[in-house]
Formats: sequence, C-alpha cells, structure tokens
Amino acid sequence: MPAHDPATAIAGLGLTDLGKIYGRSPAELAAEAVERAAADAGLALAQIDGLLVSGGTAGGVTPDLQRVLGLRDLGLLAQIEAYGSTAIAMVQYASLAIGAGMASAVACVWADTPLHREGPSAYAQARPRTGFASIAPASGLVGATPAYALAARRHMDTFGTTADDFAAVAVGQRAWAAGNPLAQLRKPITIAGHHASRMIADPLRLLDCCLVTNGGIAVIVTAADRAAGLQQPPVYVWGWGQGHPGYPMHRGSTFGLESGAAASGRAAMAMAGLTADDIDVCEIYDCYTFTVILTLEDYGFCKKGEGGAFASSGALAAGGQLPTNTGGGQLSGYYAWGMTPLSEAVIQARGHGGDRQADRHDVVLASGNGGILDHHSTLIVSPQRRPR
Amino acid sequence: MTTPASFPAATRDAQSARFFDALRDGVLLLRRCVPHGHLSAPETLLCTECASPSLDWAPACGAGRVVTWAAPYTRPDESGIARVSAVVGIVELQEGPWLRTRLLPADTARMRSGAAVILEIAETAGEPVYAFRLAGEDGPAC
Repeated sequence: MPAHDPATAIAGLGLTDLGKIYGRSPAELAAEAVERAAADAGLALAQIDGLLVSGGTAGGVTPDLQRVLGLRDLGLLAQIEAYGSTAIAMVQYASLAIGAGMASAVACVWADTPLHREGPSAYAQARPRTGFASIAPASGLVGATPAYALAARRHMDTFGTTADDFAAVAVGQRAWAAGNPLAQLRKPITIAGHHASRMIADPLRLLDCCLVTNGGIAVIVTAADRAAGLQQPPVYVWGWGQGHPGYPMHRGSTFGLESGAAASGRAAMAMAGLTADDIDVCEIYDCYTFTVILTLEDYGFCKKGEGGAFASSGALAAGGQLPTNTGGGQLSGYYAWGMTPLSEAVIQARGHGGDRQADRHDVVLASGNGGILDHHSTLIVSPQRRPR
Repeated sequence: MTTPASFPAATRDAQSARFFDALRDGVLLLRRCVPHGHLSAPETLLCTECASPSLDWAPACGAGRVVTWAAPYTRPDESGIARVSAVVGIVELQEGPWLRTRLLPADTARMRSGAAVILEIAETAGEPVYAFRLAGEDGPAC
C-alpha cells in the first residue's frame, strides 16, 4: 500500500431549513450550512482549511463567505459555477485539492433564495437580455421550462416516450418523498393527477417540474483516512466524471436525445471500476421528470430511447431494481440544485434514510445537470472503502 | 387559440445591429465563414464547423423544418384558465443552422416536429424577430 492514499470521503453534511424560508440572505444560509456540516463531521470551524462556494438565482455566495465564517489561513478558496452540475463538481475539485495537499478539510456549499414572500419566484421572471440573447425570450422562450419542453418533445417524437412515462417518474418520487421528513411535498399523487395538473409548457405539466426552495446545504470533504476517525460514517468517493456536450446550434445536434451524462457516467464508472449493474441507488438531478429518463438512459441503466419504459416499469420505485431519487428529489423533496441529489446520496450511503432507506446502498450514484442539459457531473460513493 | 402575451422586447447591441437592420428589411442573415463558406447561426462568434473567427454575413433562404416544439402557457387567470402564450420551437434552416424561435400559427393541434416552415418577421416592443410559419406538406424550397 502506498504511503499516501489519494481517496477522499464526505465526512459531514449540513442542511439549513429548506422551503419557504424568508428574511435570510444566501450568505447567511450558506454560513449556517457550513457550520452544520462541520458540526455533523465533528470538526471545529477552525479545522476547515478549504472552501468552495456556489450560489443560485440570488447570487451573494462569494469568497467573502470566508470572512463571514471567520476562517483563517485557507489553502483553497474559490467560487465555482457550472450551474446545476456545480455541487458534485465541487466535491471533485475538493478531492483533487486534498490529493494535491492544498487542503485537508474542504467545505463545499450552495445556498439560494429564489422564493420571495410577495410576487413570483426568481425563476418566473425573464432576466434582462440584449442583442441575440434577447430574441428567444422575445419569441416566448422565457425561463428554463420551455427549453426543457423542447428537449422533452424531441425525445417523445424520436423514441415514443409518453406523458405516462413522465408521470411515472413524478408519482414514484412522490411515493419516496412520503418517507422523507425533509420533503416539501409528501402527499401521494397518481398518473391521472399528473395529467390533470396544469400545463406549464406543453408537454411539461406542473407535476413534471421541480419545486422552488430557499435554503443552503454544505458537505465537508476530507481524506478517506481522516474521515474514518470522525463522527459520522464516512461516505467514500469512488469515482467521478463530467460531461459538457457543447451542443452546436446546427444540424446534427443531439439536444434532447443524449446529454453529458453519457460521457460523465462512463468516466465515473471507469474510475470506480464499476458498470451500471453495480449501482444500488441513484440520485438523479431531476429539474424535470424528463431529465431523469434521459439521464438514466445515458448512464446505461437501460437502452437509449427506453428510459420512459424503464420508468414506467416501476424500476425506480421502492422495491424496484434501481431505487432512484429516494428522498423525493427536486420534484417532491427540495430544490437545492445539485445539492439535492448529493445530500440524499450521503444520507443513503450512511444508511440514515429512515423510512426511505434503500435496502442495498453499497454503491450510490449521484448526478448534477445544468443549463439546458448543457452540463453534467457524476459522483459514485459508498460506505465501504474502494477496493484497491 | 392564442392570447396575446407580453414578452420582453428584443433589443439591439453593437454585435447584433446589422442583423436587426437586415431583419427589418425582411432578410434573415446567417454568419458565413470566409475561409470555407460554412453557414452558422447568427449569434455565432466562431464558425460552427471550422472555428474560424473570420465571419461575414449571408442571407438565409428562409425555409426550414421544425426540429421540436413546445407551448408555454400563461399563468391561470382569475377564473383559473391558462392559455397557450406562444408556440415556440427549434427550426433547422435548410442551410443547417438551428434557431430558437416562435412558430405560427400558435395552434398546438397543427404543430408537429418535422413540419416545413417559412420565415416570417414578427414585431416585438423593440426590434423585430424572426418567426416561422407552417408551410404545408411539400414546403417551400429555395
């Protein structure tokens, strides 16, 4: 065995209150999340020597968070932005920095406050744009939902994916949410109820869309050896990847048909020495029901084009062959960008899922997705040390 | 069918001024790379095919096909009714570039992926924008 083991682990998880949390800035929520993650790990704040920060619609989570937290002598500090793929990317960069000796305990944090006590959320408002970027919103493409609807329709028209398949994702995740005390929506729903929910951007209905959540979440990443001596069961990092397809706005683009999950998943599974058959639990970034279907296909859990049928088969539900989004995900749990799948992956790998704990959780995969399927990140974790 | 919806205005900047001037005259300009003549979408800074930074402008013929489409809805009104605010889509121009655009008529029952469409200029509160209208089964050719 080499003297230095480059393996890392997630040693702490901190969540603020999530949901309709008003009157607190993203920086305050981020600071509280880091404090809670450090306490969860059994570390004093002064033992944090690396900090990676990220925000959302409201911004405000910046490298200045160091001073808010009173952290001294950091060996690593950066604001990371890869949209919904950021959270898992932060764990990757933290692991690389730890392996390079830059830091030994890195806090990775996200916080946002898109919900306002009065008026629509930040997601419902068109951001001011000029020039070519102003043409799409002036044409009716305001916000992310119509753009994801374009992707979803292409998949439906190409592969025969149906609204029933989308509904199966929503219904299955709501059933998982019933067992998650942190979930914002826990009342069961049905396929018919999904189809009766109002249309947001045809073909996507309200129950195809994620929640909007205020709050903050942080994780602490340390060397694997160190995590083993801390307070919580370590969640060892086995593999990771990223994929950013850079879809051309041109004939031949695979937009809607294949995402960066294909390349990202291949890289993560190769690094972990695994195949899709070895994954026990999936926590998939689910900004929309469709995103889950596309991502699972690209990861190779089913054949390309069969993601809808895979979801409709019940595979993703409790007792199914691939328990997926076991906390209700972003659709029914909470929408904390990439921290939603990452936090639930940590909870499941630790075996702390309570009523929603998956029976087999030796290998847990989490995904991040950003832009309009433009950015993807993958993390594979386990409660076991990676076989060497 | 369609409820007039107030979308943000299209606005020009230095990079797009010539494009919007041409559009006001009914001409949709694409970027054409000087070395090879490859055609790219109008917002392109480096040629989509060869990454050349040397780009001039070339008119599109205006014909294309719907790659995919969607229909965003308004928020429900006091009586709980939500309406289609626009039909939007990605159009693949006959020359190859893709455009995110409004599709006409705003009738979800008639819209389908693969449909032939033809350029139509649409007014906004600011600059005009390109839109595309269903063109019948055979479709126009350039």
